[in-house]
Amino acid sequence: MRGRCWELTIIVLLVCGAVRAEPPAVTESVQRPTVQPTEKPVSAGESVPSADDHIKNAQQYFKEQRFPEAAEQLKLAYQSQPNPLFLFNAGQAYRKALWPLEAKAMYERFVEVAPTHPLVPEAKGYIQTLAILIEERQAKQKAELTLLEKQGELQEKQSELQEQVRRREEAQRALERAKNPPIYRKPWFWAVTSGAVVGVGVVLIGSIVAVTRFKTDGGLISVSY
Amino acid sequence: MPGALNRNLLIGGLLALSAVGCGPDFKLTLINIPMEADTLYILTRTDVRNSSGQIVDSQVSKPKQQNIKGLSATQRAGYSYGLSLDGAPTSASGQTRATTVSVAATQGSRVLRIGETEPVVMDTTFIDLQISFDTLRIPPRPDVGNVDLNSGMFMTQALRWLTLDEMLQPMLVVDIIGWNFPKDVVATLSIVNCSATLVTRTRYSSPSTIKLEGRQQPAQPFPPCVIDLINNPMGTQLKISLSNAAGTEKDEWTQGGPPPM
Repeated sequence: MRGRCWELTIIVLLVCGAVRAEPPAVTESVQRPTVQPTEKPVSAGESVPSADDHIKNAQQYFKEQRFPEAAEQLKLAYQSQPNPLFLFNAGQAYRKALWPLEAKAMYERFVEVAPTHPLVPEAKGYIQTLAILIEERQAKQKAELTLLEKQGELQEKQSELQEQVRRREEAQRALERAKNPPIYRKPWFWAVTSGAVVGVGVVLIGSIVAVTRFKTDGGLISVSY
Repeated sequence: MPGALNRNLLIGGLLALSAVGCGPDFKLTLINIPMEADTLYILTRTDVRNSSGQIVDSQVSKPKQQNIKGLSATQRAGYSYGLSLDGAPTSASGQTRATTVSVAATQGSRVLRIGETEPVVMDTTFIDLQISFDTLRIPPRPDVGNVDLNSGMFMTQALRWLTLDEMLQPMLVVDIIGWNFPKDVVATLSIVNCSATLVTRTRYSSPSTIKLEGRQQPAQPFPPCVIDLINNPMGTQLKISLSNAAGTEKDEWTQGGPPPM
């Protein structure tokens, strides 16, 4: 009901020219919007757009569901014509845009500049709701941040652990290499190799000598006793 | 490392020695093998003697037959075999081992040439030995030409001399060398145109050596016809007969010149 209410209010304001509202008694620094409209639906011929122009633009942005731009136009309209209802509507636009901080700020200014306005209770309700929402969001962000930090710490620890494991494995490999040097560095390898070479050489020479010396025409005759 | 190398060299040396030692014992080169010969027979006898020269062990190999039908004239001029003595007796320290190689060339069962080498002392692992068939005697017994040298008894030499026995009685000794003598061989002798009667005794030494001792009974000096066996061997004829106990194997050989007419 409340959503429908403020939408109707905006439409009534825009259509009927709620520009007749009185300016606020208190001058406040307006929170700067984070979105700067780059183009305006209504191209005014004048050099300085009037509050009506801003309201028309806001109306157009609202129809296009470009809520941040609509809120910006309403804030500009408020600067031109300080009607507190513009602040309320700007808060509504920010709320629709899911910008809770900006929406809450607009509602608070509205309540501040027009504390007796009939929409103040509704605005306060929004402020309360948005405060909870902001708090939850901040808590969530904090939790996410903490989680990220913990994840970072965990990753760092894992990296350290991996580094330690890598160093340990490297040290173990070095120890293994020291304990078990390559086979060609072992004395027995050369002993066996030299023995094999000498043995093969001697057998070869012996065989050559034997073949040359024992060479016969008719082969070998074995006489048994 | 040097110790291992020296050990390996030692092992290599032993391997070399074994490589040389595992070859044949003899390289037997036969010269001028008769053209008619189609078979060779080879026999070896190994005697082990002690430091006093007495035979302590004597063993004879089984005859080995070798077909030489396919040898050309050039090959017969000089042909070699490797001889490996399998199971020959071994000599201990202070003993000597000598091997005699006997060869025979036959045509069928007819012995063309037969003879043996001098004993070769086997103090080395390999011996080159040559036998020329020209120097081997032709068996003077054409009637005993048919013999199977694989098993048949066959005399090749009979060395004779006169001596005194342990009772100082005159004794004729004939050392008979040949092939395939059975252990129960009995040798008898007779001297052609000699009235002396000798009582003989056969001593078997090996399949290739037996000793025949002859005495007169009663003991008395030998008559001249016996002494002439030594003094005039070509003038007397000595007939030696061998037989086994069953009489199934026999061999006879009459040595000496033609009998007087």
